[in-house]
Amino acid sequence: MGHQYRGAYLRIPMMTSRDRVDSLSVVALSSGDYSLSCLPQPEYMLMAGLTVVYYLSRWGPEQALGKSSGLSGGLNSDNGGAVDAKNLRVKLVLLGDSGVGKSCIVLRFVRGQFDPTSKVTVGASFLSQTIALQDSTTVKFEIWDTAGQERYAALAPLYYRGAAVAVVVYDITSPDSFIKAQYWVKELQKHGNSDIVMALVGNKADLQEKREVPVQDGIDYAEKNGMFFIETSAKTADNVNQLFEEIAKRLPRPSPS
Amino acid sequence: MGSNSDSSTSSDDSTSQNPNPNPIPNSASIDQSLDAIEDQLTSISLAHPNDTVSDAAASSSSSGEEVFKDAPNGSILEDENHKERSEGEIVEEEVVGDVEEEEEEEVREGSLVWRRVNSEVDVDRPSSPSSSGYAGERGSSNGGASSGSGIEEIGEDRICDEAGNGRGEFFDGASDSQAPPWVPGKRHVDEDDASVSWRKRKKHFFILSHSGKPIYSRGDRVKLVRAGKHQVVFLVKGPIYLVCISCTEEPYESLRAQLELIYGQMILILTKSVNRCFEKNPKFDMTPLLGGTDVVFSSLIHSFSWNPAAFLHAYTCLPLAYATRQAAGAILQDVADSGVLFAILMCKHKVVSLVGAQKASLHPDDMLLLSNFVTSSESFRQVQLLPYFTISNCSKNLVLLAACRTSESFSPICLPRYNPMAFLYAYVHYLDEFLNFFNNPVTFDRDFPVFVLQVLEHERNDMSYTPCQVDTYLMLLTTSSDAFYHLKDCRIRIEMVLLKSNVLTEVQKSMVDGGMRVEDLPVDPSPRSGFSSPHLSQSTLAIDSPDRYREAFVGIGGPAGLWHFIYRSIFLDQYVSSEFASPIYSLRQQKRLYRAYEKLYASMHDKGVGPHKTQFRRDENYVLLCWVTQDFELYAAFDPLADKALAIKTCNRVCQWVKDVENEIFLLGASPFSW
Repeated sequence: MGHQYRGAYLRIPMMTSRDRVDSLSVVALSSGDYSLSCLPQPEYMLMAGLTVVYYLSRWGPEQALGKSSGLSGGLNSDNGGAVDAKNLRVKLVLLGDSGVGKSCIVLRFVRGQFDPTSKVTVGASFLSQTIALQDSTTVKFEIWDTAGQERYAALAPLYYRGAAVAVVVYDITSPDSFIKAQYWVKELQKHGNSDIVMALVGNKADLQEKREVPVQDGIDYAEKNGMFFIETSAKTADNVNQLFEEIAKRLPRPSPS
Repeated sequence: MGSNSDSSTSSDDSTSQNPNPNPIPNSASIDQSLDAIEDQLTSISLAHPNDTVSDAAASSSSSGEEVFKDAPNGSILEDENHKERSEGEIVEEEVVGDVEEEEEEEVREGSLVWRRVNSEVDVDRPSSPSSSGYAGERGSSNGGASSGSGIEEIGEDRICDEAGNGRGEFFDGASDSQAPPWVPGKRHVDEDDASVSWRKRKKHFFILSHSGKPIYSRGDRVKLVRAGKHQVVFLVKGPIYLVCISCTEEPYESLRAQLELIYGQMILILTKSVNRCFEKNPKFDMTPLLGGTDVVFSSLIHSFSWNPAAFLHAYTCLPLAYATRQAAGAILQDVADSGVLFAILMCKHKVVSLVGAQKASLHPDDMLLLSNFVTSSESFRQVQLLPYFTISNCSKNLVLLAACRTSESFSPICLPRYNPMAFLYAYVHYLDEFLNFFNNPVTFDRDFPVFVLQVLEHERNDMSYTPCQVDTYLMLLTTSSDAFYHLKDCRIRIEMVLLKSNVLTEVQKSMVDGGMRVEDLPVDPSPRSGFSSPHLSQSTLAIDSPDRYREAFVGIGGPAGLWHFIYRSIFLDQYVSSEFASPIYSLRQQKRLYRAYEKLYASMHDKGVGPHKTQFRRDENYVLLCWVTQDFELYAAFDPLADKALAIKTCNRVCQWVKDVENEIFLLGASPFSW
């Protein structure tokens, strides 16, 4: 099955759910003449496998094969809503002060990785990730990871307009970032979707010894504003998946009409 | 548009220097002499037996420099060097040969010391750590030169920001921990004005607001202050003041142009409407607004020592087959017709293809700033170290590259030359290298998908050379802030076409293959005749035979001792630069050549330039030949012992060569130039 290109090809099982992706550890070579060897570092083998699978799952066969017109539906509409009752597609925006770890949370969620070297986000990055829920529905998050810098504050509506979910992030070691988070909550209440699902996230939960924002403060503020609250650590991956799963559960389901 | 602006810029420059015409020529001549000291060891190591420099290692140096009015196109070059000698310590010497005019400068150690003593910059800012910081500069750069350890490289590229309240806040610090896009070992974590490395830097840039007005509040007319070896160059842009303090001896025009670019970079991030903040509040602190952009500025400043686009005001293209670039251009054009203002496909700083909507034109400076902004901001690429496999069989080593899929970004940016007041919105996407693998043939089975990955063949030794970076990126610029999904669709269409037409593979290949090499210069079919080289007759390298350059210069550069060239097409706003080859190998040497070109460019664009102009300049480092016509500018560097007639001949061949391959090295037909 399949063409051979210069004698070698890789055979990669199609993966769709994240759990199965994580379990993928072998990339099989189907040509007997070749052996897989000489990885720069052993763990990259797994990474490469993951990468390939992500590629498959994110692009789908048609696009990867170039069969798509490129204009097929699903990608080109700006609605934050659902596709159908079983497969939700939601627009999610992350807001918060610079340096609280918004991009790190997204990268942990989307790629399962943590990059300790901080990279300042410019404008906003767009990523997507699909998760499968227990009730066999899938939720595709289209994530706007916005820049926290002051100069982009005025442009935030660009990104949260039409969003079904807003994740407001602060850093538990920084009271300033908690104040900034409250600013974003107010802004969203004023200008966001009326039925927007909001989550308040205290990130860097691994830095307990440097904590300056008590858990209770977060809980109280979230409760007052009808938000879902969770503390996460993008570094240790604590609660990151839970955050998105909880959000998925809280999404309004389209009536099966 | 581009050329128009260029010329207006240069005329600005010439008017601005009218009050004080002397400093610029001076800088040129002083630079020669200072370079001379730095470069002695290099020159000696080149082992030219009768090099006049060889005795200069002790305490003085002399640099022979000849400047010719050139014959070939009959233009007369008014030699400014006469004026240049009005200051400084100059000793004339005769150099053997038919030198129409040679200029010798001797800089004695004493005068250097004197200059060092006087190099305290007379800046009466209260917090002026910079002035004291420069005192030790000279020694460090000499040390770098003599040890050849490249210490000089440290002495570079700082940006400081002092905003609003006049309190200096340095851009570095935390940012230095970020992976820099260039030689990582040379950056200094936690560097500040108290650090030795900071003091060693040869060039400092400051951006200040006028509420922190320092010495140049005496008036906007002060454009340049010279203190010994140091130049302080000012640029006032409304409430923003830009200052460069430099001991690199770059011409005033070059430093000023660099300040213009730094200002432009700031405008790109904030737009000119930041001025309004100052109107409302003169003590407005701009620092938070620029938060996180330090790496953008330091990358730009770094480009002032390697990217010719910074002084040529032109962009360069990745060499590609004409049909390949056409294919890329066609799909970009398609997209541009659907409401995208500019569609730009680039690989590092080189343009693959570029298309503007009707009547929209992109200035080369804007392209430099835009590509610098994108390539220096890590968030656009978000690529982990790329994993790759090696698949080997018995005979060959096959390398398979893989990359993570990069994210998409949507960011407001401003093109200062296009419209400094308004934001555009840029969709930026790095085209991951996976695309290269999913070229034909690809098969896919619904139940058990099999992807056939393209396997790149490499020599075993090339393993480490395997490009492991995602470098090709697409930028779609629009005026509409809600165009993201449209641009995303456009990108998918573009990617598909690029895939089908193999453009990305060709791009990858071109990156590996490199550009024009001087040693590939086609041999002139016409017989070489009629040249004699009396002034080189004493050189052991000068074997007076028709084949002499082949024998004499074998292994170092191209024919006739050609080391390097830059060709700038004036009509296209584009340049092509040859690959660096022996003996211009080290970064240090490349930077020195860059500075030499920069100076040459400044001298050629100095004042009322005739339609034709040539310059032939010889010092102990190079023979530099510059030829400016209405259509192009050619800058070429030769071995310092190169024969003049032969060099001129070679330049003609280079021009012919460039014309022969212009389909591949330039983006034709889609020129942003508008009449």
